[in-house]
Amino acid sequence: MAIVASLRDINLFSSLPSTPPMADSSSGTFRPAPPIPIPKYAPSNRNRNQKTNHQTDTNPKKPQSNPALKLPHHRTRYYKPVKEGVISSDGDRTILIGDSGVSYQLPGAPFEFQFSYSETPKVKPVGIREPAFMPFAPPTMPRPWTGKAPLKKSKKKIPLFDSFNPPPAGKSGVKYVEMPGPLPFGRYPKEGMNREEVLGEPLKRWEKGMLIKPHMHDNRQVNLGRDGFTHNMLELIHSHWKRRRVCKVRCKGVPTVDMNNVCRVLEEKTGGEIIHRVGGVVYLFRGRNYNYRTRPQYPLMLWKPAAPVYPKLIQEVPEGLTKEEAHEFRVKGKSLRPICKLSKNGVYVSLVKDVRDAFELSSLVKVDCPGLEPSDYKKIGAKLKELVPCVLLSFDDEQILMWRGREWKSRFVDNPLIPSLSETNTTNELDPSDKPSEEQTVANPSTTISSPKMISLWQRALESSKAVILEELDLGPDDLLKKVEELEGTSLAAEHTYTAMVLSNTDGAAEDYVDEKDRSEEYYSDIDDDFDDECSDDESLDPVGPVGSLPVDKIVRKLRERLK
Amino acid sequence: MFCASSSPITSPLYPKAYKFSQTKSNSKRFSSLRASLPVSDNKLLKFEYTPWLIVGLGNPGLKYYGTRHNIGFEMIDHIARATDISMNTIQSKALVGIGSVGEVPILLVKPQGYMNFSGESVGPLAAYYQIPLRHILMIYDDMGLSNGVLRLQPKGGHSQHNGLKNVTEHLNGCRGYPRLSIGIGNPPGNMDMKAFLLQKFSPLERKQMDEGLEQGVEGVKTLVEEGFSDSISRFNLGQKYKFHKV
Repeated sequence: MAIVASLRDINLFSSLPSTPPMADSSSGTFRPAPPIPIPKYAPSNRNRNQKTNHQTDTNPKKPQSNPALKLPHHRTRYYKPVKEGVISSDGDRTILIGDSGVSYQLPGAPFEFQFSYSETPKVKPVGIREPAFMPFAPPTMPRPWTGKAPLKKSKKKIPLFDSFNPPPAGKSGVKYVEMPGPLPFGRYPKEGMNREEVLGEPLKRWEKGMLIKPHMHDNRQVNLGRDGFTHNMLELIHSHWKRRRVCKVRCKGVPTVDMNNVCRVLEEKTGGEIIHRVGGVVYLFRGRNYNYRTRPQYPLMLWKPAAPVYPKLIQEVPEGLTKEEAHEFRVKGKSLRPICKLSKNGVYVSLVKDVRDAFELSSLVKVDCPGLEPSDYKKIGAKLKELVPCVLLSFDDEQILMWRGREWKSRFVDNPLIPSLSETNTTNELDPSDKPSEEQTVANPSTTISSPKMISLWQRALESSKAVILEELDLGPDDLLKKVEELEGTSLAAEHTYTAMVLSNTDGAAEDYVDEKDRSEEYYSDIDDDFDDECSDDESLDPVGPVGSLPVDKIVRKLRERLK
Repeated sequence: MFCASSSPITSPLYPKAYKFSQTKSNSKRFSSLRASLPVSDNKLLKFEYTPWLIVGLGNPGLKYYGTRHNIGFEMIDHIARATDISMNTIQSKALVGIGSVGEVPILLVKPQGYMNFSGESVGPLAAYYQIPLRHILMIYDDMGLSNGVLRLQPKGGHSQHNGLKNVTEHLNGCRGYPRLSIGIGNPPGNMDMKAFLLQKFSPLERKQMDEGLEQGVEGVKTLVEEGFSDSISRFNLGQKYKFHKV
């Protein structure tokens, strides 16, 4: 109120010395003056921000969220074409390009070292992105001159960890070291010279269960991601085996497309044995006679080498197609519906099978990969290209579009497969039912002849008022419901009538009931005798006509006897 | 139970039948021994296939006619039309039709108790007509599949379907009966499941569903004649990817 009053006073005061229109114009000019620069600057800032965002998005694509992809190689443009064979050598240490991509040969190594043993394409690289440099420590490093004699070595001897002689339990500062594998009572481990000796005799079923059970709900494991089984994981797995007999390996993402390859590489490089597999989880057993001290020790890779350059996955004109045909397929693929959606870090164990199944019905198949890194779904596409096999057409819109190729052949060759399988199924179905059919043949020979058994049961239901035939076949749903309710009501009324009869004469009802029992028994025995006689007579006289009509005659006679 | 049998398989049964007839003929007349052979042949040749009970689940009444939840009824209508079976009988609170596919007798059933009490019709009918559990085919709607997609399975769970739950209870808790799932799609957005089930189909969905029902008739015929074999696997594969074509 005070502020308003002061404002009013100002207005009143200003109106006296000057003319009213002048006051209005001056107040108008003064009031919007302060906010004028704000709207001018704000839009320009936004425009600049948008421009900068656009520039960053288009040109370098540097600000990627995943830190695994932040590598200096993306900022360099080094490219050197390479051919198969040795591309660099330093004495007896060589870097070569062979069937398994870029590999490093070191003296004394049992196999060629690679960055990733499971995620290397089968195609040979065509170029490298960094100078060919060995990512391992040099064999010797000369000591710089310090002007002094070298320091004396420590006299204290540090014992090496030995699985055969683990440190005693309870000793302070010493971690637990697992003893050699499950051995029967009275037997001792022995040093193994090769894989078979280290593994020992195969594990029994209960032993596998005993080893796996504590690992099932534990996340003490080796995680495999997009790079698959890398070189430094060899040492990591041996570290796990130091404390436990089974190492759990969990795979997610790209390696799960081809789990067989991952398992083969794991067993081959580590020398362990896979004792259980569920989806992307693998349980790797170290062996009964494993000794951590005598494990194979490989030099560690000190940095991640740059991925080499491989031939393009997407060809402008794929083999087997013309440019127009490829374009037509890509246009059709735009409106094609994806067969599945891959989530990030998922387990794609059934992806290859799904794509193969989808190719049975359509020459083009699309897989949706929302949220995945471009490098990830391109790797998945490369794997599908090798495994399915198929021709990749595009990676647009985070979707993999594939063509099955001209040499594709269906798995379902209808003519030879279905008859043989149906015969097998028929025989299988016949075997369990032969016995009951035999029994029924022996018990009721006339029943086997009545092929319309269902019809006889149906007619029996009709006669005993369990079922009712509808006069009108095209009844509406409501009318049908009324009919059903009427039938149910009729059956209830019948039950009610029966109850009334029982209640009316207690003593008389009891006597009648006993009499009825006796009569029914006599009736039953009579039926049996007649049945046997009739069968023999019919067999001797006419085998076809009377046999078919037996059930109806039987029913008629029953009714007549009941009436009498 | 009777199953179709070829002559070499039934040859082991022949001596027993021969002995049986011989014994009876000896007790009565000796001259009938010669006539037993053709009679036995005729008997053996008239063995019957195990019947199938094909049940379509749905709600009765005009109020629920044509809704998504009543797709089982529509499937039964299509099968009846294709095999010339007249649904002319009411038994155990169900509309029943007897017929055959080829030489296999089948019983088409539409329970007329409401969906949550379908088992009250299926149990008594299976018991009365002596149909084994593995020959009771349940046809129902499935929200886990796209609209118009069918799937034949030898066994499974209740798939959150109240009708299947009731049927399982009335079959002593056994879940080993085959099923034909007819996909009706998912409720759009946050629509209530019950409201979605009691809706009718849109024109596009109706078209897809009609094509699916025609294919389902062929699938049911294949199942009845050949059982679960490679043909059924082929059928399921075709259904799974029928909307993923160019």
